[in-house]
Amino acid sequence: MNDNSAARSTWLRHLPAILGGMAALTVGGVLLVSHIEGGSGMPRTVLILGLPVTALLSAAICLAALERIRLRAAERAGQERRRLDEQRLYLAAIVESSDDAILGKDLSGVILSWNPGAERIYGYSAAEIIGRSISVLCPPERVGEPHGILERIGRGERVDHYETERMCKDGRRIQVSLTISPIRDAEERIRGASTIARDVSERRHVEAALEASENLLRSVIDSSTDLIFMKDRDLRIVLCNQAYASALGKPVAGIHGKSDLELGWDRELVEGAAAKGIPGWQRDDRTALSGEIVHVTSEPCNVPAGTRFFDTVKAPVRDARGEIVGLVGVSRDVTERVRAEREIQQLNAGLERRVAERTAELTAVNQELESFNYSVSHDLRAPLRHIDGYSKILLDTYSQEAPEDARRCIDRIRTGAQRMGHMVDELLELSRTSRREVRKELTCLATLVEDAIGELKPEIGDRAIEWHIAPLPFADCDPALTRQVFANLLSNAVKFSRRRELAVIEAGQTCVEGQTVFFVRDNGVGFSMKYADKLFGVFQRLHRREDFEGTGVGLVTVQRIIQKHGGRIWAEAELEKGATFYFTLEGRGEQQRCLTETTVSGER
Amino acid sequence: MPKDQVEILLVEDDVEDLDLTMRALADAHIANRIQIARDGEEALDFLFRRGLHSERAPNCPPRLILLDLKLPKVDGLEVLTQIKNDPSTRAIPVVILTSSRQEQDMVQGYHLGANSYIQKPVDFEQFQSTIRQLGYYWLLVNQQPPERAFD
Repeated sequence: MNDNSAARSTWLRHLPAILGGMAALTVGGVLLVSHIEGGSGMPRTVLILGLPVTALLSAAICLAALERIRLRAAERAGQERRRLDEQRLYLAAIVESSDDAILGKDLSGVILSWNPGAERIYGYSAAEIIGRSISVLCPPERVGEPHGILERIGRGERVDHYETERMCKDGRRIQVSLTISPIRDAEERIRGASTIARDVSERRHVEAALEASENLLRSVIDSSTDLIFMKDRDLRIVLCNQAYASALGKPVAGIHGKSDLELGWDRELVEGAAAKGIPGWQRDDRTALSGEIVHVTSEPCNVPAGTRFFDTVKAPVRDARGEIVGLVGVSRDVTERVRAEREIQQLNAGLERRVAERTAELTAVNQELESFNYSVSHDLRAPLRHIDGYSKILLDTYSQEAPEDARRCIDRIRTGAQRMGHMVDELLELSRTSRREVRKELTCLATLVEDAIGELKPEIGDRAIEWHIAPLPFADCDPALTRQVFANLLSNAVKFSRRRELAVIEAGQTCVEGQTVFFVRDNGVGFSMKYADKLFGVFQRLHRREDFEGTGVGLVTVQRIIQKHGGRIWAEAELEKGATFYFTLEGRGEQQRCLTETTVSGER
Repeated sequence: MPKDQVEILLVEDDVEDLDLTMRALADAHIANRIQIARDGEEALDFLFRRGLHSERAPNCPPRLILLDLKLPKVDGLEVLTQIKNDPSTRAIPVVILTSSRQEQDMVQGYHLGANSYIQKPVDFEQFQSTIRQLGYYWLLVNQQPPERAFD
C-alpha cells in the first residue's frame, strides 16, 4: 500500500466522525438561525440548552477525529523510520561484506569508517585505524598523495578512478585501484570522501608477467632473421617481426592491420597467376586457415632490396578452444642458396657440355684409332707376309744356286718380317686390351695362377723350376685380364730365370700400408733399378734381343690392365739376382684393409 | 661332280696375296680348278651367273669359297651376306681368309654365316700349312652338300 492510498483510507475511516461533527454543527446552526428569525416558535430554553450541547458535541466529535488522524500519522512515521533503518543495515551489510576496502575520511584525511574488507587488505583493524590519517596507508614517497586528492574532492572536482601503491600494516606494498567519491551532508556540502580500494597486485603481477612474456616473444621473433608474421582470418597482419618489417622497408607499426596488397607485395604473388604456376598467397593462407600446413620453396619476391627468394611455411593458429583464429608464417631468405644452386646448375650444365664435347672428341679419336688399328692389322701385315712369303719361295726354289751368305741374308729378311709381324700383333693386342671394358667379379686368383703356369709348360720344357705359390685369395677383378697379368709376369719370370740351374719363382701376396699387394718374384737376371722407369714403356727393353726374345709390349699390357682396375704396379730388382713385380688390383682405400703383414719367404 | 665344276672360288684383290695363295694351293696339290675373283662384284657375278659369267652353267656351284674381307667395290662381308641370303648359294662353305684380326670382323663374319675364319699368318711356312689343312679338310674330309642343298 502506498502513502497516498494509506492517507485516503485513513480519511475514509474517519469519515463518519467528521460527518457526525458536521451534522451536529448544522443542527446547532439551524437552531440558532431559527431563534434569531423567531419564526419557529421553539422555546428559548431549548435553544439556550441546544446550542452549547451541539457545539460541544461537534467539538468532541471533531477532536476525536483529529486525534485519530494524529495517531495514524505517528504510526506511519515509525514505519518509515524502521524502513530507513533496514535500508541502512542493508547498505552497511553490503559494505561489511565487500571484498574491497571501503573507508570514509573527512577532508583533512582522518579516517572515519573502515570496513572488514579494508582490514583484510591493509591489515589494520577498524579500532586501530579510525581517527588516524589516511597517510598511514601510503608508502613514504606517496604520503602527500591523499591530501592532494582530498583537496580536489573538497573543491568539488571529480577524481577519476586511478591505480597507485599503498602500504599494509606489515609494511608490504600492494597495488590498489582506487575510486574516490565525495561525501555530502544534508545541505549538500562536501564533508569528506569515501574510498573504495581494490587490491590489484595479483592482476598487476599477471599483467607484468604477460608483458614480460610479450617482450620475450617479441625479442625472440625479432632476433630471427626469418620473416615471421601472423595474420587474422581476414588475412591482415596482426603481428610481425623486425625482419619482416625490414624486408618491406616499413616500421613494424605501419604493418599491423594491413593486407599483403596494402603492404605493396606483388599482386601476382598475392592473388596468384595460374599461367605462371603461382597459386598465390591468398590461396596458401586459406589453405593454412583450413588447418593445413603450407610449404612454398624458393619463391622469388620483389622487396625494396631487389628480388629475394624465400622458403615459406604457413600454419594455422588456434585459440584455447582449438578454433583457428589466424595463421602464422615464417619466410626464410634463401637467395644465397638459390644463387648457389643456380651456379651449380650452370656449372653442371657447362660441365656436362664439356663432358659431351670431350666424349665426342674421344669417340672421334677412338674411331680414328680403330680405323688405324684396322689398317695396321690388315694393310701393314700384308707386305710383311709378302716379304716373308717371297723370301721363303726364293730359299725353297733357289737354295741350291744361292751362295751361303745370300741364304743367310734371306733368313735375316724373314726373321725381320716375322718379328715385325709379332710386334704388329702385340700392338694390336695392347690396343684391344686397353679398349676392353673391365668386368669385375669375385675371382679365385689361385686358379688363375695355376692356369697361367699350366700354359707355360711349352716354354718351361724340362727346365728345373722350383715354384713357391702362396695361397692366394679371391679378389674382385676381371678374370680374363687378371689372368693375362699373371701369365705375362710368370712368363717373364720363366724367361729371365732361364740361365739359372734351379730357377725359383714365387707368387704371393703381402701387405703394404694396409693394402693387399700381389707379387711375382724370380731369381733370374734381374735388371738395374736405374732403368726401372723404362720398364713400362712400349717397345722398351732392358735386355738384348739375342739374349732374351720379346717385343717390349708385355709389361705395358700388364700395366694397362692394372691401371684399368684402379691399381698400380712397380718392380724391385737387382742385376743378376732377380726381380719382383708388385701390383694391386684396387685403388687405395677402395678395399678392405689387410690386417696382417704376410710375406712369402724368399729363397733367393 | 661335273667335269668343269670349279673347286675353289678365290676372292682376293691383292696381287701378291693372290700369287702366294695360288702357290700355296699348288704346293698342296689340292685344287686344279680355281676361279679367281678380284673384287666382290666379280665374285657375285660368278656365283649368280651375271655379267661375264652369265653363260655359266647353272647348278654348278664352287665347292669352297675363300673370301678376303677388304675388297674393292663390294666388300667381303657384303659378298658373304648375299651368298648366305640366297638359297642357291647358301650351302657353299665360305672360309674367310683375311689379314684382319679385328674382333668385330670375326664376330660379324660368323654372324653372317661364315663356315671358318682364318687370319693369314705372316710366316709363309705357317701360311702354306694353313692352306694345306684347309684344302684337305674342306675338299677331302668334309662331306660336300648334296645337290638338293642348292635348290
